[in-house]
Amino acid sequence: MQLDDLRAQFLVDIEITNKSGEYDALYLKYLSKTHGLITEHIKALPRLKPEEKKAQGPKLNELKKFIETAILKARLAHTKAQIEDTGIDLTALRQAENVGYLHPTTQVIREMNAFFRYYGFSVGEGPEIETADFNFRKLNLPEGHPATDLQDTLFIREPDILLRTHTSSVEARLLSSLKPPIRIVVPGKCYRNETANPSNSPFLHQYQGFVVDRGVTLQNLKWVFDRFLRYLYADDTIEIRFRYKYYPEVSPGMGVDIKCRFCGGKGCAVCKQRGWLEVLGSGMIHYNTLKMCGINPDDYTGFAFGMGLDRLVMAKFGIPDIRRLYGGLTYI
Amino acid sequence: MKIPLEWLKDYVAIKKSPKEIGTAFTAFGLMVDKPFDGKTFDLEHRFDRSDWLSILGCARDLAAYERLELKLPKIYTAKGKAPTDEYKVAIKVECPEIIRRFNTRVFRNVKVGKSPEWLKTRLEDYGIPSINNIVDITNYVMVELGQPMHAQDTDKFRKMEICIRRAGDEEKIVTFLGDEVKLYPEAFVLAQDGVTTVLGGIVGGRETGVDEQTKNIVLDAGNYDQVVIRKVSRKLKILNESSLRYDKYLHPDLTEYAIQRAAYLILELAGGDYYENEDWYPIPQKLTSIRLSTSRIKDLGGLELAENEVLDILERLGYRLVSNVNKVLTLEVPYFRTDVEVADDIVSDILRIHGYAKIPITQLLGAPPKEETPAIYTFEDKLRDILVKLRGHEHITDPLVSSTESPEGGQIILENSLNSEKNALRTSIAQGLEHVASNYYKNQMNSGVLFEIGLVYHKESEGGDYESYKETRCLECLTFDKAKTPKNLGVITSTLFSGLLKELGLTKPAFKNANEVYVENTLIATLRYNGFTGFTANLLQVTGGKRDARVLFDLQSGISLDTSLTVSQTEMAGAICSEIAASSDKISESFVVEEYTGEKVEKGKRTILIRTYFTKGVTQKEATKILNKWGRS
Repeated sequence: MQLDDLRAQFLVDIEITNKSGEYDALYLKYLSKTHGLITEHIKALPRLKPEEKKAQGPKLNELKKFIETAILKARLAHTKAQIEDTGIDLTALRQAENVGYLHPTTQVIREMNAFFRYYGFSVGEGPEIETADFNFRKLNLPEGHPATDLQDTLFIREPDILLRTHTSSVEARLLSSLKPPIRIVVPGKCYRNETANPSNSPFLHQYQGFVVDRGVTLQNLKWVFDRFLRYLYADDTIEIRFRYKYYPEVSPGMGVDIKCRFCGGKGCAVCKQRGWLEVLGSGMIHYNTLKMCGINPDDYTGFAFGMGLDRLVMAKFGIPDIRRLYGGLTYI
Repeated sequence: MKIPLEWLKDYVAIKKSPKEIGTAFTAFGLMVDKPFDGKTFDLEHRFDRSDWLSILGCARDLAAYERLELKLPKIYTAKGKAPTDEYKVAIKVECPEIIRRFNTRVFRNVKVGKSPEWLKTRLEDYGIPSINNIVDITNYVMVELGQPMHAQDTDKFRKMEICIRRAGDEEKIVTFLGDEVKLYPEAFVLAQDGVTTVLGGIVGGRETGVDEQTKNIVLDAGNYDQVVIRKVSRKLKILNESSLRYDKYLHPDLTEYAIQRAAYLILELAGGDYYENEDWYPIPQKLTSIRLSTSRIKDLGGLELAENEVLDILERLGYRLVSNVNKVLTLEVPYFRTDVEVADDIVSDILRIHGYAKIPITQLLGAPPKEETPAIYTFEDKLRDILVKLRGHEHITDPLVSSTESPEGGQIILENSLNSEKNALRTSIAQGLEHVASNYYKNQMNSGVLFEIGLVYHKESEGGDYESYKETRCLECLTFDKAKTPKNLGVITSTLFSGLLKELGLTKPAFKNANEVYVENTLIATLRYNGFTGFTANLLQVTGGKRDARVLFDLQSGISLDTSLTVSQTEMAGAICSEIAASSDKISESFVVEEYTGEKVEKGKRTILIRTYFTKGVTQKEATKILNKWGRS
């Protein structure tokens, strides 16, 4: 069949198909890779003389494209007409079926894990029921150290068995069991002897991280946060401030702030008029901590960081009260 | 720590705006806590630096950071007169394990009266009300130098002696504010002739207080075991300016400096005669020396600083250079820096005064270490995804519960919880999810699937060691539907559980005791009509942590046959399915499609319709033959 006849036949066929709606059959009749009418012409091309091939080739190609486009357009028009004909109201939305979802804190933990795992960190875990040794002593917090005031402890058996007050206890455990190089993050629950209110809860979530290797410095720690905070807040223009801050388990310590995202640094109720929001505590792992965990602090250095997760989750999801977050009063 | 700006300027002639000064404080470690109120900075104190509880201590670091001169306050260094026996106050220490030093002086014929305006204003700006010039001076020196001091009227003494001893069991003291405090033996007191005059390191009593009539005083600056002060002040709930400073480690040398400063101010403002008195200091403490290799600055900070900058910073912070040999500095740590323990602490000082903002950012390099993530962590994350796919809502509930909520044994009770509602650890997650379900009902959400993956806790024996406290990893699921009977809810639960097993590739579970589910003799879950508890560590063990990478058309490729069986009401359908599934390796899975109890079935019995899927390639004939022994199909 000549190409002109083929085109004429297709125009008849598509008229018929517009009534039946069987566009798949029409497509196969002309374009099936095994027996389509156009395909057969294409298969015949190599057998033609060079000049015929030169004339026939582009025409065949044009006809193929024409048929493809015509079927696609006709199919869309048909679907639209069908909706109009039957009077289906697609805008009458019903209540969504009950769908599953992950807790906001899990979502944020996953987001953070994804960042750190990209940079070669593993996720670490440790017990919530902890000994004073791992929770305090190995982190350079001897008995009676004033910094234990920062962490009102819930004791199971005072003074040696307690609920971990921070995820740093996992750092002490893993530093004692792993060999450098080490890159670990630890998302987890910890506990404080506090009364619940909108912003504090006796149980809280922290996100801890630590790196130990040869030649690790404060400059690398700054680099990690520079990357991480831009990722976390999905904002490349975020302003980050690094300042000295004391934490007993590190020396030198470092506080990390971001310019207040609510007032742009002018000072508001959210940032307590400071213009900056404190987001992380960090520093170089204390000489004594490395030593107590069996790592030679003259050979290896390391950094550690920790942040509260709950306020971050609350800010991200617009949850005003921590008791809603963990009391079954959130639904996304 | 509050720092009145005008007071601060006594020691540092800084010309910057309060905002710029606040930024400097924040940069080197004293973060501005509340905005400058026009007079006073409110700086966050982080517990380590006892000298940062003094204005001079904060001023010293500010001066170093701004490269300005530090102006020290005037002190009276000349020795006082030798006291006659009549004026002399004897010091008797009965608890030397707590007292490191008790330094005293006597002043005679002072003129007690109102403080001058400048002194009053400074104290009031700081937040301490003015009382009289002597009391104000002791408070002023405490805020200025960080050493709490105390003055007593010796004319009110029954005996010219201060005895320092542990408090008696039933002993009481009436504080200068008029509050009666009941003491206990861990506390120590200052007493004379059996009368308690001061609660050591914490608060003065009324008995010997200085007032307008006072002429003769004994001034003391003590140095005590900070751990004792911490414990006692917290137990007695007396937290004040004195206990706040005394519960940090202060160096005994500070007492002498404070006495010299107070002596200067008393002689200036109240006149009188100055006498030496006993300085009880049996074991003088030496200053610490630390060796610092300057390469350590590069090890930690990643940068090399010029030696002159390093030495300048150290000098400004009060370190004394003992020697400098081959880039190893031997430094004497100043007495007021009791926080400095190791060379890295000195590096901290150098880097923070150099300025953290000036430390460059450098990429973390090196090959990533080997993967250490526990398999269970990844597996539980997969379980979360499966449960979400099965329409579960994940929740995280409080592991702290009321001890009364779990009458079964083994619950772990907390010793010091502030709240009786949260004084124990949960033994099951179900109760937390029940609470969540009740919140759903309140919000007109009447059906759903809730789940949580977390720990439950129990102790194996009373008074046991650490190992007897156990944490168990659980997946807790709760189904709820207001419109359904327990039986109908049971169908939802078993369908959900079956979905979980299918996703995990566990098609041949075994059942025991009506609700226990096993795979390869490992208990993987216990079922309830409205949910189940899965043991994630066991699930990991039986699945090997891998989910089958199956695709839908593979699942449909084998044929299926339905079998109808009449069984007794008490027989477990799950066990029958497992038995069928286990009877041939050509069966891929077997599960209940429908159950019937009613008129058409004999009383006490029920009919179950079981659907069995066969592996790819099994013919209808073969399948029928395999199932024949199970009855009608």
